[in-house]
Amino acid sequence: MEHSYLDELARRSSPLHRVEARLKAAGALGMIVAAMLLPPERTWPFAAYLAVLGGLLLLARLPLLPVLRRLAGLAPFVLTAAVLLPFTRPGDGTVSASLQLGGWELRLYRAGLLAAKAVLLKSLISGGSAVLLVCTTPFSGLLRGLERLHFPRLLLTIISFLYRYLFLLQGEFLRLARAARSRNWDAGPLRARLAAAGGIVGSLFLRTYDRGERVYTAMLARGYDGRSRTLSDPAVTRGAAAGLGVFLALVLGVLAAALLAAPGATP
Amino acid sequence: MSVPPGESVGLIGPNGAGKSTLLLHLNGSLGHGDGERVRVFGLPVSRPNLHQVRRRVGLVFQDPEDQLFSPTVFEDVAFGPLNLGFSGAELVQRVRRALAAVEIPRELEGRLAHHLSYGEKRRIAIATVLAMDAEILALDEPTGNLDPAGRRGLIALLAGLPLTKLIATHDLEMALEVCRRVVLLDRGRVAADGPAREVLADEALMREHRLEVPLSLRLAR
Repeated sequence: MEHSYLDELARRSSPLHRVEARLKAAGALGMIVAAMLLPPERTWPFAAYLAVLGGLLLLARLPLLPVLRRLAGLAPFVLTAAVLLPFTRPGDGTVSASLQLGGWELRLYRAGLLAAKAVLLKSLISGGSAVLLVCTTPFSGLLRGLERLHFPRLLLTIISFLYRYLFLLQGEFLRLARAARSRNWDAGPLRARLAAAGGIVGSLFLRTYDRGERVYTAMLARGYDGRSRTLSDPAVTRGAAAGLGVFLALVLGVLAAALLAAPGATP
Repeated sequence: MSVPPGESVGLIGPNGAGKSTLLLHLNGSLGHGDGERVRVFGLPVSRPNLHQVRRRVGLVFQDPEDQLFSPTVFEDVAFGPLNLGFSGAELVQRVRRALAAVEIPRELEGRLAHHLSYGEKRRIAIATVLAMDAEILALDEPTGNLDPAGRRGLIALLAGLPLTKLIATHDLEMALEVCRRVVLLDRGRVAADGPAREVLADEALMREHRLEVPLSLRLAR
């Protein structure tokens, strides 16, 4: 994995890529919060949100496959929950279907099925919004956008250092591991192998610590005094702001309609 | 030892002689007691002067990975000027001027420094202090890890920068080329101080301090 991979899609150009990061971050956050609040009994609001996301995906002119691949990263967590929930959440005890297996009875509960549907659709929508945001905004722009939205500075500084040094650390680890392997690490007895692995982790920690100190010295040398100052960012254009307005109105409209309709009625 | 404005001084000496330590002391990175021992432009390096000293002494670290910590090249070069309070068009202009001085093309501004070549990283590291209008350039092993063409480019760049330069290095050929004067340090003390051609050609002195006479001087004999 490389930075170029991470930022590859974000460096393309499209109307959505050009929208200022702050607006996109606010839009994605709005969409995620609204999706969480949707009542799981209804299907059409989810369909409406997915349609909006699909439209944005077209607008972003992103290739489908890499986007889906990023989304697939969520699959292990979501699918585990979705498969287990129908069996484990009895709700009011209504059983939708049951299966006899020898002496065992597997019960599929109605409440569980509903929860599984909610988990699937809600994570698809929130995951989709996040992926769309990341795929249309370079990482540095995203950090600046979040900063403008008054995200905690310290947290953002930590994230930006992580982004900056993650691959350096990975490279350092690979070099240490290669050096160990080239002296036949894998042929040794288990105890020696574990000891060497511990040594690698330990020296990685020391190197990280050292580097942290050196980076801090380098920051001090250029006048750092504990306050972060950032570049002014590109102005929000009127068209983009209006676009965000329309988007949020649509999202909130669907949410309001879904919440106001009688909860018992079938969709 | 003292260094007059505009001079280029090579700091040479064996490993552990105190070359890097001396550079770090120049801007108070290693503590700043009474500040009477180190003076920069006549100012003691002590807390009240620290900001001014750090602006005027541009420290370029041995490993550019330590110096370039921002998500983009542009932000890295802007870090110093931002801390000095610059913003807007003036900031952009400073960053562009510094990058142009080290011959980094505009396309690289938005890139992450980690993925550039070692030579580019080294030049950007120099740009980060040029953008602060440093008057003294303090470089730690600037030609280390560069390929011969990268090294040649860096030597040309250093020779062309009209600043006071202090260059700690084991690359004695480079010291000979860039610096008129060299200071030989060993175990934290000045062991010799004089014209580069004379100090570097002194075979006994060089051997005594785990150095050697550069090949170019031996051949010229």
